[in-house]
Amino acid sequence: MNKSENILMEIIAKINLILLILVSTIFFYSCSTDKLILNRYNLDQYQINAHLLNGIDKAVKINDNSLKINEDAIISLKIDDVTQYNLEFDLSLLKGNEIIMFLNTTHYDFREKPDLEIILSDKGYKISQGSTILAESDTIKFLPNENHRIKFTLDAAKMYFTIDCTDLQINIPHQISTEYVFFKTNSQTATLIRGIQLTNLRE
Amino acid sequence: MKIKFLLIFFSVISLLSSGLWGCGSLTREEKDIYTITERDTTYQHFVRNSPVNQNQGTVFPSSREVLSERNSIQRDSTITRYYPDFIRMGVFESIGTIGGNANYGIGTGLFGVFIDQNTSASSRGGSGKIFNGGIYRLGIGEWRLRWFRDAKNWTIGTSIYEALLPDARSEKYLMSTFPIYIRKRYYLREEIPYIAITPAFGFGWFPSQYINLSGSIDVGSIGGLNLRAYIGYAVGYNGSWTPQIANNDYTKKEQTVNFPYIGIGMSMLDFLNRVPETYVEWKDHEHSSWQIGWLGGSLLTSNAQYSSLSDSSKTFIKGFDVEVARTNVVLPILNNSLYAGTSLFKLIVVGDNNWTTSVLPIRVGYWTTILQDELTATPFLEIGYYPNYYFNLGGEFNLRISDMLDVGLKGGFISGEADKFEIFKSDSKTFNYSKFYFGISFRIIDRIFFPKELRYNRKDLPKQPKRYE
Repeated sequence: MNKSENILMEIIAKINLILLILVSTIFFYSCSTDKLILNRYNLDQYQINAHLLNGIDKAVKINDNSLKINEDAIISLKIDDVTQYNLEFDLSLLKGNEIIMFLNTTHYDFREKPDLEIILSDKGYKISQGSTILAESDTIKFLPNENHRIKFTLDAAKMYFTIDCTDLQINIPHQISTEYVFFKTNSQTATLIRGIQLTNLRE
Repeated sequence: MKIKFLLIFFSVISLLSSGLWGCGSLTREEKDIYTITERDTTYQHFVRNSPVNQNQGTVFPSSREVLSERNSIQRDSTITRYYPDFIRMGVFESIGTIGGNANYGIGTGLFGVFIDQNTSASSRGGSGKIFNGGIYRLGIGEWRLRWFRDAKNWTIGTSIYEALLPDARSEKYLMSTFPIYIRKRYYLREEIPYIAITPAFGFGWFPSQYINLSGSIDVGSIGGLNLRAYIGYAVGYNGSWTPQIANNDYTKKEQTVNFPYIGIGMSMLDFLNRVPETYVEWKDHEHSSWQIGWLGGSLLTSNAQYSSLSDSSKTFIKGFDVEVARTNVVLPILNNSLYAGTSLFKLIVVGDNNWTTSVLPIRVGYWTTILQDELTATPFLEIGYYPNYYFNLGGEFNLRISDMLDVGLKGGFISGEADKFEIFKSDSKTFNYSKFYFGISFRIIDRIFFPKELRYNRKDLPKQPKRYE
């Protein structure tokens, strides 16, 4: 074996070791990147799985219970095994004018069965189910960099919804409750959701 | 060097297995829980008429009582859906390559499976072979690689074992367990069978260390069958402690290997999903075959004079057969009943010195479902041509015990030649024979499909995954 072959051998061996570690790392981190886990380190809270449904760059985890939702995103939060709950969080638009929440639906049924749609925008808020408008107001507007406290309780056929200091109680007959909450932003809107807290009403 | 690699081997295996835990699975499960609330109010009316006449002329209290009960019932409903969780999952791939030293050609033949009959494990090969070497992979898996902002059709994969054989010199064999490959597919055809151009970068690291760059045109999969044309270049190193050198009779020195190659390959039980298919439930996947199986075997009786299993002519069981990687692909004519099939390897023994082996025999037949989800029958004609010629006209009844296990009855007439392959040769004789046979068969990891499962019979397929927009 000549000198050049020896050098070649050493190079191959070194390159392979580096490649092995590099690619193994890629392999490890390339999986399931369409899912973020919130409340992962808080054992007192339910773990929330945030699925990035239309692209892996549509949301970023800010801290253990906060999420930045980017433009043109559809994100679902799934709380395993919990369908009757109280969820509250701080919501602020970083830019743009509208965020929509969908309740009582799943990935599978999204937009296929009438779900509960809550539009929060710079024109006010609107809660509707299919073509039926359940509540609507233009007194509370969602403008960029304003912080709003959102709280809602899904309790069987009743929904209690709180925006800042405004309480609403809505009856939704024949509604099936699910483990999911969806967020949808338009192409101009980016949103910050902070301090997500969940209480299971069945406990 | 050896200790270093062993340490890395085990640490990376740990890392890979932790990664595989997250994304290396075959099936992804989605479970949703719905809570259904039912509210019901019941009214019970009781009217107790008085037995005597009442003065109805004035205001008088009615005897009617109304009992109202309000009930609220909540029940959870769980729905589970199953999706494939891989891009490619295969059992066996082989490639016959041109590119090694022409003086040491193995003669692996087309697809790398029609190996020269005079070759042996210790052979140094010879000249005059078209396919000097081969590439072989066992247990192949590929998963979606989501990088470059989720760029399309990238995969990362591995196989349990890979061997790159430039030629017959074993010190030049590049072999690795769990080599790592990154591939990108450019689809030219996005319907079954898919056609794709696939550049790949891979490297093996134990026991050989090598880098393999390749490009291929892939056709498949259909029924787990794939054809591929390759061009590539592998460069690598075998240390003196590697099995290829340590057990070598010709050299004990470490070796470098440069291996440019072109090749034609095939793979069996090798299934490919495009990314959208990983979002379609298993139950809605497209099936193109009547039968796909990993391993089958039969016990046979025949009109041969002596059994291959004993010297007695009174033994009822005269022989057996073994079949590896069988597939019977539907031909979409005549109500989808005709099929064409093959097997990676088949050994049929119907009596003493009445046996034959075959690689990729050609089989055509007519598939009939007798009992839905349970019993099928198929007459078939099978021709083996390498290494032995045989002609097999037969029929089978197959009973599906489960998705993974079938039992059956088979019978037929076989005419062929035995013992032509060097390692099976006995007394340097070649026997021609023609026998009737009958037997009972067992197949494991064998899936029989029924008419309602075939894609040709399902107008609702292909199902598109849900798009979130």
